[in-house]
Amino acid sequence: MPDGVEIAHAVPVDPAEVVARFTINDGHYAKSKGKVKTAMFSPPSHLRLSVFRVEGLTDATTAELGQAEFGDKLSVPKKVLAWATVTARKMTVHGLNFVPGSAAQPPIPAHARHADVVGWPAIEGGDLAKSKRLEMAGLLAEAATLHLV
Amino acid sequence: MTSAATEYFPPFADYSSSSRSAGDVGRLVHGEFFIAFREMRTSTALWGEIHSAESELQAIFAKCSNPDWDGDGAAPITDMTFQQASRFLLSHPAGLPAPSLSAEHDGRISFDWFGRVGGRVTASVGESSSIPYAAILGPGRVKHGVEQFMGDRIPDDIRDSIRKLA
Repeated sequence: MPDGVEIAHAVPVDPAEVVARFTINDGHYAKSKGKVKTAMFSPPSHLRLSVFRVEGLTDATTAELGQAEFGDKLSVPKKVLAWATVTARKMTVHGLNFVPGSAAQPPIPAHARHADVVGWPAIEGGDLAKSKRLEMAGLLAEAATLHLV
Repeated sequence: MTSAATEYFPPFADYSSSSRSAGDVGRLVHGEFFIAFREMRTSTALWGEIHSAESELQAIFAKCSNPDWDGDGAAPITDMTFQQASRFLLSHPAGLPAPSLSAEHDGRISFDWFGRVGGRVTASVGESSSIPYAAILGPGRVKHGVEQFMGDRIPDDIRDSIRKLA
């Protein structure tokens, strides 16, 4: 992400806050089992996992937020199918951190409810680092609650 | 046997090559064996679940074989990754729960095995024989590592972790 697109003085993410990870991929969850798959929380190659701060929002409002600020802003807009929620603490306990107010999809303008989750083991660490990222993503997926649109 | 089926079941591809040199009879026997094997597999509950995972794999390959399939810069699932994932799935031993598959942003395919009351094992299959994996078996029972898959047997550490899922 280019410098300068974060919202200045964005409010830090509170550990008790609920954050949501949206997906347009029906392979990211097992509907029949009500399970979030590990891939849903596996970070992309740039190691910034996109989440939205949805504390206090209803499911309907959360779905609208996800569609407007995530699904519609992909390079090819797609329908948001589901989201998974966890408390921020579940992420920070594994050494992850938040960059609040960052852009969901550069160069789309930053959004106050968006945050990137950073602090993942580096790509340069090879397959062993990948396995650690799988472990962290798996723990998040285990703790997450699945919401279908 | 069609070429697509040969590609999808790599262990048979080798056999097919050798049987071609044996002539038409060999090809016929091979084809009938292949059909019978598939029928046997789909006739039981276990293989039914594996067949479902095969379908999942084919769907992933169909949807995710182009760059940026997720609109967020994802790497494509390549033919080689698809074939490696097919071999991994075919190596799935009886008695273990069937995996659930996902495409990953980096072009790999992850296999998730879920415990009945929680916990999971996730293995990530790409083009190479290296398989990064993680096992979450309960509180304080978490591990990760890298195993080698040689094409015919799910690595022991991964297999043992799946067996430990409640």
